Amino acid sequence: MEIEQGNSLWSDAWLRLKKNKMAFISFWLVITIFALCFFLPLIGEIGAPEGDKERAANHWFKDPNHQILTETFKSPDSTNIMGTDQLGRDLFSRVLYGGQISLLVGLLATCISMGIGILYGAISGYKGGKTDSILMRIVDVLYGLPFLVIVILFSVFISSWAKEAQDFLRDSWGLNDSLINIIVNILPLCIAIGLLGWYTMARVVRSQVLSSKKLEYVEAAVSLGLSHKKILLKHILPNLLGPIIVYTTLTIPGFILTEASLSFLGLGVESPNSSWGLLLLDGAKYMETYPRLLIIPSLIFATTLLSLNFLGDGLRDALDPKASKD
Amino acid sequence: MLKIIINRLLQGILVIVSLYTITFFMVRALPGNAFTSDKTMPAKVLQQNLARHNLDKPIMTQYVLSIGQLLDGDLGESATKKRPVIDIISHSFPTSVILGVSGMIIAVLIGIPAGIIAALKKNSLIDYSTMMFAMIGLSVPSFVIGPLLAKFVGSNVPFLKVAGWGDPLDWVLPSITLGLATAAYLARITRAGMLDVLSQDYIRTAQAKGVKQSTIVIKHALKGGLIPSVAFIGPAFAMLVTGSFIVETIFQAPGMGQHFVNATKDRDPFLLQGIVLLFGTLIVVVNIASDIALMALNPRLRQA
Repeated sequence: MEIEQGNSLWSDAWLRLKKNKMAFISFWLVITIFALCFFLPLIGEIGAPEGDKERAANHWFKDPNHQILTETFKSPDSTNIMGTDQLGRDLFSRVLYGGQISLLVGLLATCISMGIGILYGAISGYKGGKTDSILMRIVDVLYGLPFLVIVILFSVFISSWAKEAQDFLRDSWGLNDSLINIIVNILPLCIAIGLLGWYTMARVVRSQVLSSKKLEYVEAAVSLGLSHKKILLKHILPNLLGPIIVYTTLTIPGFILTEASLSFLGLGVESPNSSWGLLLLDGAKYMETYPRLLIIPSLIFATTLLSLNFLGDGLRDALDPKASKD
Repeated sequence: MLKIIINRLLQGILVIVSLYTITFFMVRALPGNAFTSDKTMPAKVLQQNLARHNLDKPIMTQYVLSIGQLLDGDLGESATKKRPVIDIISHSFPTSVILGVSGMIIAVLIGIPAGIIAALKKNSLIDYSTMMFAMIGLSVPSFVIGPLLAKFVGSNVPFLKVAGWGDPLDWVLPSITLGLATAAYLARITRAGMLDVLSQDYIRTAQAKGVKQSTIVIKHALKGGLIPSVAFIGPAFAMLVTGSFIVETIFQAPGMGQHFVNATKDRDPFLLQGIVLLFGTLIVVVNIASDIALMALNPRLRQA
């Protein structure tokens, strides 16, 4: 006798995602872009001989900060497949390296905000009553604050203090300069964006917890005498993985955009670090004479955001067919 | 209904107060002060300068003093520009208003009709291409669209300029750049709202009774279908305000955005507080106005 094999939520979702062509293409695009940004530089380095100068001259992935002042604004050729920028740096390497930082900021900030949002929303929804209404009024007030304004204030605040501490980090902890650069410049951005971007997640999780709290399986868990912590973490939250994944995917492009906006205004990533926002700012300066410097980073940036958004939309349709498409 | 409005008003005041307080303490907690960049300043002059802005007093005293000043309608003086904050704001605010309003007009003119048409032609080529464009509008930020527009449109159309802020024609490209992302959001929200209403029973009843499709859409569907779009006007306005920082930078428009960015970089306490206060108040006022408009459209919202 043959046993009918049931479909799990995930295999169902995967099938639905495959049917949605845009989302499926986007899925592979996202993976390709991540792989390019994070793994290509590694491969480039493996084949390279010791010393940055050699690498800058011979290999197609070069040191993104290596300046060759005699070769500024070079058009694409076999050594620089996207040409060079105003300081003779290889644009291809800079796009990939900038992508690392942009994607990293997006991911890290998303992790922080998801953590806060899920916890806050889950507690608010699970406790209910007075706690819930107080916590949600706080979110309402925070929601009213203009996001970019407050992110700018926070990131300037955090990074100024990090800068004050950089000598201490170098001397007492023995960190090297590139690590200090990241702690002083990149990390404050992630923290500021993450600390202030969790409201939507909290609202989504709260409303989901609120409705699943009344379901039979929770009642069963309560009558079995499980602790609240266990019910919330082991039974309710795993069932909300669908909406959580959807909103996480939709949050990443938003945060990448925030980072780029800050960098574009000169308040985000600072050189020698690089990011897509900084590349776009540079490109905009030279667009009259060398539009390539603007158009290439723009295309890659827009493709990344577009595919992440399409993927998020596709995941929503796949994991949560009931959710409205707004 | 009055109770809801009062509630919103109180919440709005809380938003403004917390925004002001956060800004106030944060700018003062930063290492250094507005005069640190001027290294040549003798200690005595620095002391005078700090005293002039009350910056030498304990922080809580400063806070109370500044609230008192605010209630007198005094926003203080910019430490870096040596001018009253109210003066700086009143010079740059009109530019920001023009930019914001024209951006909003473009967003509404493009977004809402596009959303309605997409909903009426659901799953057609028009629907798909509209939504594709909306997704592009969401994903391609203004600092990509702006320079590209300036490059390809601004330098080829004779009466448009790449940058600058003189006559009304200069407003065209910045407003389009600013409005497109909001238009994209509006199109998606309008489409969803219209689809929701169009699938309801009362629309089917009207169709069954043989009412003309155009009458159904205009008289019956629009009122309900546009509710989510009206609800989005508050957040959209906040988007436009912060979006204008970037658009002003691209097109060199003399609005408040640059003052905000510079005040943050220079740690100019009173200028920063003044601008943030104005932004916060504007956003709160627009939010309350859109809440009232919503209640007028949707009777179900009037009961608390």
